[in-house]
Amino acid sequence: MQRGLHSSLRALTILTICSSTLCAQIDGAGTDRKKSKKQLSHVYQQAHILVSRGTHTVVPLRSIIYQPAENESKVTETPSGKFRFWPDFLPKNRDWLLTFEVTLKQAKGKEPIPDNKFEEFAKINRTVIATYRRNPISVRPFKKTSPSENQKE
Amino acid sequence: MNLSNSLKSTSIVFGILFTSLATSQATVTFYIKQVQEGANGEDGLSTDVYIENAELLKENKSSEGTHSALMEVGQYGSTFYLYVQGIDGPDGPPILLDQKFIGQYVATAEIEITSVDPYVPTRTRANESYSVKVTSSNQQWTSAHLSGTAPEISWDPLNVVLGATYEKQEVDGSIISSGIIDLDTTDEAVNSTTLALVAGNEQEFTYSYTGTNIPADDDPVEATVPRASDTYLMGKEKFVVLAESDVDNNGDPIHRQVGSSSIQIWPRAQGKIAGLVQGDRITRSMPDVNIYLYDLYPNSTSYATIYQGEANLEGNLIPVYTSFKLGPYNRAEPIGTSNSPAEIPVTNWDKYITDDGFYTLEVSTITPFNNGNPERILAVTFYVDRKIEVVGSTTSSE
Repeated sequence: MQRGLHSSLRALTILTICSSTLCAQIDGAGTDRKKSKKQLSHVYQQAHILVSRGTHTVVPLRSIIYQPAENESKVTETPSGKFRFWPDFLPKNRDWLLTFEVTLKQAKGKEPIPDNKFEEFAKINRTVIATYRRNPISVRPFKKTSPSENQKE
Repeated sequence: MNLSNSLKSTSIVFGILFTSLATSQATVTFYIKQVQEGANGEDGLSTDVYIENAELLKENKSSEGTHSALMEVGQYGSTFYLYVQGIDGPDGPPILLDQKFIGQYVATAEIEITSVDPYVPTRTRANESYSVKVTSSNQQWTSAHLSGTAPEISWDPLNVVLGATYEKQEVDGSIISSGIIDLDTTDEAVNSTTLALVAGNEQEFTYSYTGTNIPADDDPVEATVPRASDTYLMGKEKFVVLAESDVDNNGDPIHRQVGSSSIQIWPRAQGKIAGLVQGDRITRSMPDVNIYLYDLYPNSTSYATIYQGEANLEGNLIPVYTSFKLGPYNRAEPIGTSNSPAEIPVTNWDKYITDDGFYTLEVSTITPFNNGNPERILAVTFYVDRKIEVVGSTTSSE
């Protein structure tokens, strides 16, 4: 059954994309005229917007695991400048950004990120983005679970 | 039963169709966001996956690809978002192309929209019919239920809801207005309709429409050439299937999007003639005439014909003059807008008018509709009277 389920899940993920959707955003109900074009794109929802050097990018919400006060202005509510994907944005902003590879258990809040890592982040004094297999990932706060809950993982 | 053990990492299979519609000369990039949903609608865990397969980045082609999801689907399912960047220029934000929720024991759905125009992505003209076929099932739940292995869940895995919306758009894609399409066949307007799934095989639900669901404005027809921006029926209709997938902390069901599809609606073409009006009587040389065309259907062929006689639709006309004006018409470089109509100049046409009498100047367009036969946009009948009468007399005197 598990194999059948697995193959079913693969089949389920077929996304057929048509260019009819290319020119308009999927979301946006309501009846106000002329309002939707300038609404923030869906990509900015549930995301942090990082702005620097006339460009900006997005990373998942709660993927910033360490933020020095001096970099707070670089995380904004609204985008400004040219959009760049994270793989393009990171190399040009390594002077204030750092990535930290987490495990899935750490991302899920099942295991803590060691305290000494935060001490290292403080010394380096850069904004730290959690990554999983080099892709930005959100990190839930660590929450202790009972042994029985851990067994479910 | 331990659900999470069954939900190992999956692959994201996606098909991407490019046309020259909006991607002309554009370099585009894709990425996928996976949000592993939390229990009871709580915040999920999200990752961004960037697609590095260069084959997928080529424009004007249909592409498919497989990309492994970084995380498992998860106990409470995952929502996958597919974005494209580069459509609104190289520096614009990514646009959400599609989204789909995947979860164990959650129903699945596919939506197929069909119109007379075979073009993909689906499109049609505002006054043409189209149909929507929704195919939905929940095979995993059915199998588990029949084998007695289905877990106790507090939501209804057979509850599937179809909703539909429209966006009235301008030619550049910006939205003029939007609203809900009433899917109910009764008099009472409803936002969505519940598809009655039963355990077993997949089921089909079909909706047929004789024309667009985008509402017309009250503007008088004669004021629409050239059209004011909000008088024509142009935009998009979108159908979305939501399946019950969980309950929130209050025990209320959570529905998530498991299928969607849309159809682009194009307005009817219109035209006007400058330099000639119905009933004109021409006694000298033929005047220079300019024909302006608006809202031409994509890749349609539009032309002007002059034939002897009054306007008719018999189809056995013998044109004395034909001028072709070809499409294409698309969002990237639209022609036939109110600001920039397509033009057919008709000049120096005296040589075609050999006899006096009634003539008609007709503007037609050929689209996939009307069985591919020409459709009249407008016709103007005029009378040519170039006969020279000499009135004289002869007198003689003695």
